[in-house]
Order: sequence, then structure tokens, then C-alpha cells
Amino acid sequence: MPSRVTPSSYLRNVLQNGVGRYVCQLQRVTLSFCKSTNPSRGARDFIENHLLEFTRNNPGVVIYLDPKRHHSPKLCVEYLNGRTETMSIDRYPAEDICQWLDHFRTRSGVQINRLRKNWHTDTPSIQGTWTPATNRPTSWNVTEFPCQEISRRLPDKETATERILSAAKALREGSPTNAAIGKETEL
Amino acid sequence: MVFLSLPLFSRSKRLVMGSNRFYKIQQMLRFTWHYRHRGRNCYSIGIRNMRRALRYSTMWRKLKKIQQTELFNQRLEAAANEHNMNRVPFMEGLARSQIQLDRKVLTDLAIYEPRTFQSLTDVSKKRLSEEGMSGMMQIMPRKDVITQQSLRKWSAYYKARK
Repeated sequence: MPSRVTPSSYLRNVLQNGVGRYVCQLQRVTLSFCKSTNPSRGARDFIENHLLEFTRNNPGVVIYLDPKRHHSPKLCVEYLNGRTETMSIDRYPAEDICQWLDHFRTRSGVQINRLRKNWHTDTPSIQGTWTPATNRPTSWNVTEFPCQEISRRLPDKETATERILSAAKALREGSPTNAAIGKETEL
Repeated sequence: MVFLSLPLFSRSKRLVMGSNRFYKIQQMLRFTWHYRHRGRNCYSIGIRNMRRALRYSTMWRKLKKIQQTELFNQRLEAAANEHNMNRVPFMEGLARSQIQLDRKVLTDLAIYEPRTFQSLTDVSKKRLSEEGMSGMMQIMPRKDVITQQSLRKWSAYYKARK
């Protein structure tokens, strides 16, 4: 799937929820179901057996039951940031509905989309992000540029001319070890 | 594209390959909504671009890894050059010191923790000089860098003293 087809975002924790106190972002749940047909059987099961436990555990979440004759059952969840998500629970067993409600309970309300980075940090650098001046000597702050000393070419390996001259000098001074011009440089 | 069971798989297929061409065109529109030209509305124009886009997305899964490696290599070369080293000897010295940091982490350090990266180059230089490969560096390593060899020397020294 090309990356521009669906929206993408960065990972974020809205308002640093959980750093201090954790606020459940789920605001209200609307459970539409039918009182008689088969597709709503799991929903009716859930309402009879598991709903009250959910409400006792999550007093901050408002749950509305919306019986609609001959309509397929739906779960509509709304979050504190105003976003709404609807999901069909047609023929879902009660345990699945429990799990899905738990999933919605633990989400922040942000849209689920591709994460560009799986991490986020407000302080990416402790030592200070690299700048072109990071690894330069601080004496350059008080130097007049252009500066001959600094702009000089850094020495590479000895040139052939320099090797011959240094060999000749060594011969003159009488140390035989350096005189071998054909000797390979140490690598 | 997550099909966890046969009924779910056949549901998604029906959305596209049914006898009704409505679904085929809808799929194309889902892919081409962000195009600027008529390809975003007209099937026979947009389908060509959509197929090319899908083909590219398969190619680029491989290319992204290659390009990221090249980028990391370039960045590491530049970062090591600031400390008078080249990338290959630097990585060699790290490998010999059993510092198993990969290129991504090293570039992140070089960008966001430059002093840590400097310490890593110091360790690498010291290790290379201990192995007799000083020619790979233009300047000698610092004396205060502790490596495995220096630790062994010190422990041997203290044992001898006792």
C-alpha cells in the first residue's frame, strides 16, 4: 500500500496522560442491539452477564443501551477528544464483545494510522545536538579568518621527493636503516 | 490485509472482485484520491498510475534498506573524519572491542550525543593501536582510554605487586 494513501502520524501521548494521573479517555459507549434476533445474541449475553461488571470497574464511562428492533448490533464509542468509532458486533460472542470493549477502554482517542516512528522523545539529545562547531577547537572563536595556519593542507604520506631527500639526509648522517628507499611504509 | 479466517478473506475479496464493477472502481478511488490529474476520478487513467504505485511500493521495501545503509555509511564517514579516522577502521576497532552497535545507533549517537561518539572513536583508536594498526589513524590515541588489554596489564601489575 503506498504510504500516502492512508494518513500517517507520529507517536504521541496526549497531554502526557499517565505521567501524573491517568485519565481514561473513553467517554461513552452506545450499544445498539435487537431484543429478539440471532445476530444480537452475543450482545444480549454480554448485557446480561458482563455489562454490570464493566460499569462497576469503569465509573467514568457512560454506557447507553439502545434496543432497535431488527437491526444488527453495533458498538459506538466516543472519546474525550471528540472522536467517535463505530463497530459492528454482528454475531460476536459475549467474550469477544468484552475484549473489544477493553480494547476501546485502553485507547486514547487518536486515530489509528501508520506510525512514522515507533518512539517519541521531547529531549532527543542530552549532550547537545551536533553542530558544525561541536568538534572544532574553541580558539577559532577568537581567530581572524582567513587564517593561513588553519587553511594549510594536511600532510598525506611522504611524497616521493621527500622520501628521497630524507633517505639522502639519513645516509649523510650515517644511519643505514632509513636509507632503504624501497622499504614499504608501515601500515 | 489481515485475514484471520476463510469467511473474513472471502468478505474482503467480494469488495473488489465481484461481478459489479462499482467495487473495482471504488478500490481504485481509494488509492488515487490524492492524485492531481484526472487519474483521481477516471478509471482507465488512474488504474495505470495505481498499478505503478503498487509496483513501486514493493520495489521500495528493498531499496529503502539499501539507501538507509548508504546514508548511514556516509554519515559515519563524516563523523569519524571529524575525529581523524575513517569509517572502516573505526568500525573495525569497535568490532574488536566487542562494541556491537549497529550503524543506525552509531549515527544517532554521532548526531545527538557527539561526546559519546567521540569516546567511541577514542576506544576504537586505542584498540587499533594495541593491535598494531596505528597507520590507520593520523593522530595517536589518548593515553587515558581504558580497554581490555590495559585492564589485563593493570591486573597483572597488581598481582605481581602482591
